[in-house]
Amino acid sequence: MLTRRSFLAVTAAASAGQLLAAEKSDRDKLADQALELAKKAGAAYADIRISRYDNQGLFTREMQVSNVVADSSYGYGVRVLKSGAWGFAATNDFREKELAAAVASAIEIAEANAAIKTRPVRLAPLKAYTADWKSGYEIDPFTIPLARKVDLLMGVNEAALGVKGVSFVSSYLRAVHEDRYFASSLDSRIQQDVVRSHASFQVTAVDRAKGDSQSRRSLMGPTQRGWEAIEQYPFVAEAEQAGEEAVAKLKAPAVEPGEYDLLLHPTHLWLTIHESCGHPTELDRALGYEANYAGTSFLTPDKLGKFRYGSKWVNMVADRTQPHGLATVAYDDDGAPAQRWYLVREGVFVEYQTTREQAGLVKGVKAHGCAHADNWSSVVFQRMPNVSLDPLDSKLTEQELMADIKKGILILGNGSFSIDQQRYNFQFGGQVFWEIKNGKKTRILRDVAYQSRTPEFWNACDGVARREEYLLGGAFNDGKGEPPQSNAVSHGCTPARFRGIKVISTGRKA
Amino acid sequence: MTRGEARELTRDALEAAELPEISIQLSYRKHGFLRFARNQPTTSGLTLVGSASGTAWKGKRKATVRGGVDLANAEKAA
Repeated sequence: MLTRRSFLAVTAAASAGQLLAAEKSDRDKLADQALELAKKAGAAYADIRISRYDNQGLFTREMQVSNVVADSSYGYGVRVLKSGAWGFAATNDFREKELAAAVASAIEIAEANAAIKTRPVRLAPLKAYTADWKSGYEIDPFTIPLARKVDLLMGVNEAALGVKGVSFVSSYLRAVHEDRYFASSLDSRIQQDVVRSHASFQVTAVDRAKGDSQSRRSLMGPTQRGWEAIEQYPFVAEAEQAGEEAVAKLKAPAVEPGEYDLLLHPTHLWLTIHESCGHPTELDRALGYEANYAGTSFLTPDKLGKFRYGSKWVNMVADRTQPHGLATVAYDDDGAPAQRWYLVREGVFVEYQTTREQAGLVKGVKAHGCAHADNWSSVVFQRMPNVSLDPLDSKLTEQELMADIKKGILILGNGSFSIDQQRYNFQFGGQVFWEIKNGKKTRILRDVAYQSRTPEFWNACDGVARREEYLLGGAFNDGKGEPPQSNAVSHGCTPARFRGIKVISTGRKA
Repeated sequence: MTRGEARELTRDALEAAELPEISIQLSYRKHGFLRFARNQPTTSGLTLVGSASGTAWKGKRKATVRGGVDLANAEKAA
C-alpha cells in the first residue's frame, strides 16, 4: 500500500531532479542494473525504455482561452523474453528495490505466458546500435511562452470571426516532446529526442432561418517539426478563407449523386491512404492477432506478391526515415534501424508492416522496424510507419490532371469517414468540394462523400501529380491495441485522379 | 493517503496558486493486463504508476497540469 509519505518521497524526488535522471550515464546505469537482473533471472533477451513524455495543449473558442493542458510523465518499462514468451512491467518509481521488483514482475509474467503459449516468440537477428538522434525540429515548442501561443490562436479567431456570416470558431495548438532512451541485452544504447507540433481550427457558419450550419477545418497537417512549422503556416489567411468557404457551403448546392471523376488533394487523400492502405498492411491485423480500432485486413498473406491492389500509378511506400514524418525515428522500440520499403509497387501488394517478432510469421516477410510503444508504461507492438503514395517520376501537374476531367469534383481536407472491419468498403467526406466541369473548377458544392471498395478505388487511379506538389498530412493520435495506445503517423501524396467513383449526397433526406 | 492528508495538500496548492479554485487529484494505479489472440498470449504486463493532476479555474478559463513531476511542486502545478 502506498502511503502519503512514500508517494511524496517519489514525487519530491521528481522536483529535486532525481526522477529526471537526464544524464545519459544515469540511464545507462539504470539500464545496466535492469538488464543484469533480467539476465540472472534467465531472460534470453531483455530491454528497457526510460522515457519522458511532455504534452501541451491550448484550446480556444470565440476569442476565449477555454483550456490549457500540460502533461508530463517520466518512467521506465522493462521487457523480457523468457522461455519463448514476453513479460513486461513498468513504473515511475526509480528506487533500486522498485527496479528489481519491476524486473521480477516482467520475468514472472513471461513465465506465466510461456506456460500457456501455443508458439514461441522468435526474433529476427539484430545488431547492437549506439546512437543519439534528434528529430528534425528547429525550435522546441515548449520554449515558446504560452502568451505567444495564445496570441497566435487569437489571431485565427479574430480573422475567422471577421468574415460576415461566421458564427463560431474554435482552435487549438498541441505540442509533444519525447525524450526516449532504449537499452537492450544486445548491448544497444539509443537516445532519441522527438518533437511534434500541430495547430488547427474549425470555423462554423450558421443559417439560423433554415436551422443549417456548415464548417470548415484548417488544412494544416500535424508534423514532426517544432514551433517553426506553426509560425510559418499562414493561419490567419487560411482562417479568413475558411470562413468564406464555410459561408459559401451554406449557400452551395448539394452534390447530385452519381459517378464522378475525383481529383483528391493531399490534404484529403492522406486519410484515405491511412485507412485503406495503412491499416490493412499491418501484419498483426492481417493474421488476426489484432482487431482493435481498425479491425483485421482483407490483405491476407495468400495475396502477398500477386494481388492487384491498384493501378500502375499506385506505389505505396512505408517510410520511418522520411523527414518530418510523424512516425519517423532513427530506431524503433526493438532497437532496429528505421527503414523505407514498398507495401504496394506498381499496383501490386508486395509487403507488410512488421517488427522483429513478426518477420518469421509469414514466409518471405522481413522485419521492417515498426515496433513502437506510446509511453514508457506501454507494451511495444507493431505500429504504423509513415505510409505514402509515391509519385515516382510523374511529370503531371494538378492542373493537367484537372484538365482531363469532364465531370468531377476536387476534394480538399478530410471529413467524416467510415470503413468496414476488413478495410474493404469505405466512405469518405471532406472539407471543401469544388465542382469540375470540362477541366475547370466551377463552383463550391456541399454534402459530398464518395463510396468505394479499396481495390476498385485504387485501380481507378489514373494519374498522380509530380513530386513538387507533394504534401504530408497525418494523424496525431491513431488508436490501436488493448490497453489502447496512440501513435502519430504521416501520409504523403500529390494530387491524384480517380475515374468513375460513386458519389453520394450526405445531406439528402430519406 | 487519507482524505485529511489530501485536503491538506490541496490547501497548500491552493495557497501557492493564489487562485480561487483548484482541484488536485492524486492516484496510484497498479494495472495488470493479459491479452490473448489466436489462443496466444500477446500484449501483457503490469504497470505501477503514481501520478498527480492539478486543475485551476479562473472564470471560464481552465488549466490542467498532470504528471508525477508536478505534485511536489504545488506552485508549479497551479
